[in-house]
This record gives sequence, C-alpha cells and structure tokens, in this order.
Amino acid sequence: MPCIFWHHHCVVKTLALEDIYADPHQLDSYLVSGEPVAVVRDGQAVAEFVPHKNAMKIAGEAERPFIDFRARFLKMWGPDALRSEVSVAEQFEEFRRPREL
Amino acid sequence: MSAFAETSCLFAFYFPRAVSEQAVLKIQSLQGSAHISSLVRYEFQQAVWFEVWRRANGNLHGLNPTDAQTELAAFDLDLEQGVWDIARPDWESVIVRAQCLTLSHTPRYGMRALDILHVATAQQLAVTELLSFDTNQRRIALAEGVAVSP
Repeated sequence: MPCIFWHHHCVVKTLALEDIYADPHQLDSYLVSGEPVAVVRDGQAVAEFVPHKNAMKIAGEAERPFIDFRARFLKMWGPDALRSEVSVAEQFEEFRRPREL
Repeated sequence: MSAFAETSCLFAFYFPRAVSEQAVLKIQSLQGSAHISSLVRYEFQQAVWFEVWRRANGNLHGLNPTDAQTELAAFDLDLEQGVWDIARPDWESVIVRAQCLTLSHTPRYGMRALDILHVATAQQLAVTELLSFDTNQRRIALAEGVAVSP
C-alpha cells in the first residue's frame, strides 16, 4: 500500500514496486498530483519519479533535466553493476536470430 | 549533434551489460534528447520480456519480472522527461531505404531485418550518429557513411 515517509526534509510519497507491478497505472494519480514519488523494493528506495507537470514544463522548454544516470544505475543495480561481463551484442544476436523450427 | 539510439544501446543503458558504462556516459554527454523510433521502443520492451522468459527457463543472465518492470517504468519516465524523443520518420521512406540496404548488405553479411530497419531509420532522420552496440548495425552504418557511437 502507498505510504508517506520523511526524505531529504520533505514528505515524499512512496509506492511499493509490487503494487506498480500489479497495476502500472497506480503511478498515474501520484505523478499528476505534482509531487515526486519514491519507488521502494524491500523497504529500500530504488527509483525516484518526478511529476508529470514538471516533466511537461521541461519538455515545453526543450531542455533535458540533469539526471545523474551513472548514480541512478548503480543505485538500482549495485556497486558492481558496471563491471558486468555479459555481452549485449551476443544477446541481441540471439534475440534477433530467427527461431529454429 | 543529433543521435539515434537503437535497442541494444537502450538495453545496456538500463540493464547491466559489459558496455553499460559506455551507454550511460554517452547518454549523459548528450545536450538534448536522443532520438529513438516507435520500433525501437517496441523492440526494447520485447527484449526486456524476452529476457524475463530466458530467466524463467534457466538462463542466469535473464531478468526477473520485478527488475524488468522497474526499468520499463524508468524508461517511461525518461521518455516523459525528454531523455528519449520518439522521432516519427516517414515509414514508407524508411522501407525504401531498407530495401536498398538489404540489396547492398544482406547477401554478403546475412543482415537481419531489424538491423537494417534501424540503420535505415537513422539515415531517414539524417542524424549525425547512430548509438548502437550491435556489430551488424555498426558495420552497415559505417559502410553507409553514418557515424557510430559509443
């Protein structure tokens, strides 16, 4: 269930990832409210989503907000995530290969 | 500078792969949005759920459904914030270009349809660089005079 907690000295709404998985549209009402939403998994925040209103304003100004993608990536996947040895080229070679009948 | 990102770049940007750091730093360095197409968006979603299926069938490099859902949500938010821009090329023109690329490259290199279509889209959009980690696409793009990155 959605809850509220203190984060960076302001109230941030949170949604459990499981709730979003069950109903992806649960995010909609939160984002249109104009307040940020934190997504939590096992009690840990894994993503922070900004409101639609701010996003539309940004799009209208033809500017991209600064997002530290590297920090976000490491926050989601852990400190060793950028040391993966899995080849995306090999993955897509298999993904796009016609299925053998 | 304008860039067209194809699906392998998106995947490495959102999921841990050997080239993820390159993908993240490249997107970070762009001044504006990276262009994608509705076809790239669809193929990305398909690739994510394909990896969920692979995990469910014993492949440890596949994805669990929770991680897949999380990153697809992040992708949707990034679209809204302008990290990605869904370009709308004239698809008939893209197909015509793709037919030409097929004649030039498929008999020699065995290219796949989607590889050809992504490069043809980049050409049709007249972007300055194609962001791809796909060996085949990079080969076609370079042969056609399209810069590739990262």
